[in-house]
Amino acid sequence: MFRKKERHSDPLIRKLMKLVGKEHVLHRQADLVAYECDGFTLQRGKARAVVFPGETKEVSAVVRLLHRERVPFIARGAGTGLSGGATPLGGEVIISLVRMKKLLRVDLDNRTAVVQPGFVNLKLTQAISKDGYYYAPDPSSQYACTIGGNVAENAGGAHCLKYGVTTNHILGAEVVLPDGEVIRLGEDGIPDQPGYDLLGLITGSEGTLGVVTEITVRILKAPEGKQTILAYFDDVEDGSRAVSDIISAGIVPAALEMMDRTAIEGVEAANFPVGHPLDIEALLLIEVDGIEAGFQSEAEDIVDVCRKWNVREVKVAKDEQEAAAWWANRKTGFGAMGAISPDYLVQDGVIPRSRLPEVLNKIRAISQETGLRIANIFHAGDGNLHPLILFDAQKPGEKEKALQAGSRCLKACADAGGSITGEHGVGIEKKEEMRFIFTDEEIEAQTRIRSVFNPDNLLNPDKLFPQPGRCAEVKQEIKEQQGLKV
Amino acid sequence: MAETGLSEKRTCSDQGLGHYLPGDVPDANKWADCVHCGLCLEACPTYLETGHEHQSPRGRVHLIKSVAEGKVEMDEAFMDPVFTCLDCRACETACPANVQVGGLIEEARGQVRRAVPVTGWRKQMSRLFLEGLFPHPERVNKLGQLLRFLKSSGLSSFARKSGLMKLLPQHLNLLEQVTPEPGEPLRKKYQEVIPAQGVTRARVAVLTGCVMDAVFGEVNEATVRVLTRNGYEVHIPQGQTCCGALHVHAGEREAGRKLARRNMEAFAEADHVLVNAAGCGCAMQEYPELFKEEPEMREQAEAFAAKVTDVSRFLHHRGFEKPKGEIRARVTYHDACHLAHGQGVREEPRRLLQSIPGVEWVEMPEADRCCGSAGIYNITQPKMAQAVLESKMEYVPEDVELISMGNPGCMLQMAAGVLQHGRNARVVHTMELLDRSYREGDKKEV
Amino acid sequence: MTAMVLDGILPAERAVRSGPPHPLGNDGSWRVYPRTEQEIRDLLTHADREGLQVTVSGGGTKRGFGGQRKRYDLEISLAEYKGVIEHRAGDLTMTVHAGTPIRELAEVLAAHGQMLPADPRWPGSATIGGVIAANDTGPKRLAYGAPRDFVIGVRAATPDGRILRTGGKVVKNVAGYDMNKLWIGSMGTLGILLEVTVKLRPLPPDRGLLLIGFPAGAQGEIQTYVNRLQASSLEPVALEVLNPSLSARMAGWERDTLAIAFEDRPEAVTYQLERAEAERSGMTESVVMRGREAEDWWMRFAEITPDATASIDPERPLISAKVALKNTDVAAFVGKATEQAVQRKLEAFVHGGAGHGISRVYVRGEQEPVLHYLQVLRTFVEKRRGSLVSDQMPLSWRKHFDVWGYQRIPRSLMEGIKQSFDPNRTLNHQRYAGGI
Repeated sequence: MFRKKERHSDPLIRKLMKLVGKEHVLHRQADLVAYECDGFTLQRGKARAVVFPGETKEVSAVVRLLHRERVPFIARGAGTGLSGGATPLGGEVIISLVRMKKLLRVDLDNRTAVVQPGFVNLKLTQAISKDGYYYAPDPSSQYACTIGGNVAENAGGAHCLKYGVTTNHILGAEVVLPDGEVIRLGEDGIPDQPGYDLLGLITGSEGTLGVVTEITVRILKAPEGKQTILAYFDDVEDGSRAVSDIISAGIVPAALEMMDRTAIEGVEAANFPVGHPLDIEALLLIEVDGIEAGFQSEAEDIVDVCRKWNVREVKVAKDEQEAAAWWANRKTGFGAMGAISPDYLVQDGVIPRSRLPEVLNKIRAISQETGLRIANIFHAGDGNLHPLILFDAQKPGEKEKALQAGSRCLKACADAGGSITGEHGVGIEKKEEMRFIFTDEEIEAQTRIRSVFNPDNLLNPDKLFPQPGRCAEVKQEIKEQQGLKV
Repeated sequence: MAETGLSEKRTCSDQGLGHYLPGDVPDANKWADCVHCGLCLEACPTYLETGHEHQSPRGRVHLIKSVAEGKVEMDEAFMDPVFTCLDCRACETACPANVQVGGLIEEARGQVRRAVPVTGWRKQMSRLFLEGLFPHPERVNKLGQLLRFLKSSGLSSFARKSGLMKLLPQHLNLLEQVTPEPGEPLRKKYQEVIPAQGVTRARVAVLTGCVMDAVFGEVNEATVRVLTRNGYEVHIPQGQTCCGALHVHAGEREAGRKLARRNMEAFAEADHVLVNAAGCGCAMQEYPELFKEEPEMREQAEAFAAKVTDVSRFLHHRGFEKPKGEIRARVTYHDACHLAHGQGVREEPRRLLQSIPGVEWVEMPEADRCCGSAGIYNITQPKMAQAVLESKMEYVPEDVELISMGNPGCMLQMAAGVLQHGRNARVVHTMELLDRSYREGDKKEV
Repeated sequence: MTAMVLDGILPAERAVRSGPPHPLGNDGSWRVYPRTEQEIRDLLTHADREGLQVTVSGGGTKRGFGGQRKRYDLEISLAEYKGVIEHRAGDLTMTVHAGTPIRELAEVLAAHGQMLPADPRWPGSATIGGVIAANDTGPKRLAYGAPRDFVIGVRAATPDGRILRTGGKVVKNVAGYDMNKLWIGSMGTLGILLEVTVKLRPLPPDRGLLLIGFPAGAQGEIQTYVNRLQASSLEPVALEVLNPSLSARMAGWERDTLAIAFEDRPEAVTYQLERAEAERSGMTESVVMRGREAEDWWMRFAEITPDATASIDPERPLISAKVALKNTDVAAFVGKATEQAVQRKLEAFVHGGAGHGISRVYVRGEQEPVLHYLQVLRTFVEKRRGSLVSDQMPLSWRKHFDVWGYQRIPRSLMEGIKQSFDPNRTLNHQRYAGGI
């Protein structure tokens, strides 16, 4: 609004402006600062420009231009990702899809909805809830994150235990390939299109295979009812065993979440406290849903299991409002760490559910050894841990220590037969940790696939995969340097 | 993050930080809480309009921090997002970590105002409003008359044709159309103390405000009647002045401090300072922010802030006489940002309104979304204000008769929206409706 | 290729010289039965090096699915590469050898109160590897999903001697590309599945089945009823439409039938059966089954026709096709396929999932009318943006009918993926969509 004269000696900026309109290109230094990183703040880079196409044709034109000029580029939604997938490393053009935020069609009889990539996750449920439907994947950032971003990251959420993650709900997509060609996968959301499952491959490819410009998702009928249960434990191990027993009892809760003492301290100090006692070691937040006659007795069984494992207090939400408050408290848990620590690093390991107590002990040991507090907020039902490593970047060396602690947590998960990421993606953050679970050969099999789509590695370059063929020491050194550079 | 040596400067601002000028530097502790999670994005009206992250809360916080880190200059590119912020605080409600974005923005604006003087018509505007107008209630009053004269004389159509109107933003013209007939300012009409009806429960002081008193004198009168009726002896300290909210929002922090000092003095005797304008109440509760470098004043300001309450909250918390007069109407409520996000006042006005017999309640979706008024934002940033208003109007239920709220700025802006969209709804203040119901009830009894 | 060469890789008794080519195709001059990963790997690399063409089989139920070649040089059968490797009951996951028949898995799991969330056809002979490679699904896909939903990890051998693991052993995992998806439905063109890790579910405490018979030609009524049911909060696990001839066998009446299944706690099953019953109109008749009886009904349903290992009538072979459509087009398709069959005096079993979009047609007849019939159906389906793939047809017929139909995926991407796994085209060459 204070613009005087625009200075853009960069001819690329002029060309981009020509394609999408002057007001839809950001290029001033100060305007680009906000795009230095996404929800993962430990590494940052400067974009060359941010361009906001308004339709698929414009995305394709922009991509064609960038491909022709050999300029690397990144697709970005709300930038809420937690692994740096939408963070420029330097010189990329960011294609922001937030202008493409329409809900295009809803087909209740076929249980599908068609959205543009910039459409915000929660808005879909809000738009269809009046008819009794909802969109199941519910990452904690759902208030802000876009469905396009969800597809890129194969986002999860608290309710994925019963209903699956994003990939289980994506039926079709329009994709702009890295050379600008537009393809459609899964026409009208019809399943099993003959040919390799490119839709499944692109979902979770962290924006390295194509730019998704339209998405057909499955929507679900809201369950007849649900019940939310909160259980407080004096012992983490008791809480973990209750989790296992609930699952072994043949119950598939809609959600089964756990928070430890430090995490509870955080959420209670932050913006959405609900009065959890501060002296308990773990809490479980459990939701069962479905047919009333069925989940009522499931809820009773869950309460029994909790009692068996010495629960201090277990209660069922008395109404929707109370349940909503418990959920808001849980879902804002990461950001809440800002209230008890200047900085945090969230990790995203997955383990077989049954190894929970053992891995939590290992994480505790890592915390003790590094002297950093680690809060745990996680999807216990599917073994998806989120150790939140609390640190103060102002203190010399703490950030590096936090990165190391994070990496060690992931190693512990990998060693337990798990994975280094369950829903946040690899991004920049966990590139090296990919080696904890994949051999060089297996990583190479994946980069070969990338080359099929993205042969020049222009689309979101240097994400997701470790640098090839370097020995471990060198990698560690690089990591340390990157850490210091920030 | 690391090498700026922020840690030793966190509490010390007698020297510049990065590219900031010495003194009243944006508070590092405020941005340190931000973990860049992005949950604020969808709460931010300007992000929703532009889709640009530098026009979002986390983008602005990051930018403010970047100046401190010396990465960004305090130039126009910095000023733009800092001044397009509506200061609506919706992000503070959304933020899991309680980042005080509004406070940071105001501090950054203070810096900008000192570093880069305003020029052009904005300077004229801001001078006119902030220096010439708001501290002088009688002048605010005259502006309304001037605008009305322009309109009735046919000069405005001449002005429009001749291009003269371009000097005044179109939005202002619209506001003129919805500005009500000025009543007599409270401070002139009543004496300093107005006794309670019946037994006196307590003594309260009322801020009359500048816009409220000049443009919505009726609302002030209604407020006084409601309070006295509920057993409160109402004091209207003559020494009071504009709360300074608009000055602080605009980055004129020194002017804000001056006004704050005067008010703290004027209300020194009061136990309760009641406010019926959301923006004023919020600003007065935030006086301590203005004095963070003067510990003694800060302490005073904190004591003062603790006494400031929105009149709806005060009534609701202390119990109020149930209104008996029937108001048969479909009523909805718009949350003024500085009530809902700024002071956490959401339920209280709703409860007051719902207690009125005959009221058919219609909850407005996204009721706490900014209408675009935001102090004098609709005058300084007319384009964005209009866009925000357009979005807001989509949520106003079609068939309501009354839209109630607790802030004069919102009342003007929403009235403009109602007019533009050809709606039949009337915009009212919560106190007006409550007062009307009390009075209707009395009539019946007679 | 000689017995001697193979003998160096695995014992001679597990390398069998085949008889005359199978009429369904997709067999090899030699059939080998490896029992270890090493054997499979050696066979594959040997073939790749020597330029031999390889096909893979499990229970042989998909022999008639795709393929243009008269015969491959080598058929690697995984029939003896079977068994559970690890069942982590507490984690609801299991890792098995690819050659394990579905029923064997189910039995192991049932002992722990668990199940594989899948109901593919011919569970007695179909193997988990084959079900995944052919992406075979049954009526309960509506609730339990398809292989792409339950496969969480794969270990596979590629022709150039690599052993690749994709995914992992945990139910939630986004590390790297979701490479698991490439194995699913890709007809063994990228590698040989060795081990598969799957997500399990608890066995439902109770089952209920409601069969509703509609008057012939009442597709519109079926759709209305389905829409009503789907708009309610009931949670059917299957909503399968059966045409009259199939109904005659499965329900004992010659009407269009809707089979509605509920699997939940007993009280929830009862409640849902009652609600679903109450919604049906007076024009219809119904049967309710519970527990074991319902389960047995679905077992029979999984074997509507004999699988591809049965003897083949060369004049009137059994042809089958899989059709994918929007859910709301399924009832209409079942009607169309039935009506077209009647017109042509063909005997056809048709059923389709009104809640998941997959229909199947089983038809017996002579080549010309049957291929014409399929062509008519394909036109109907492709007009609605769906697909029709014939998954069983004699090799000789496949020369006259493109079993995969219209290809929407750019060829360059299909070729590129194939190239990055099997550059020499050693595996199942020309068996897949687009001639891959």
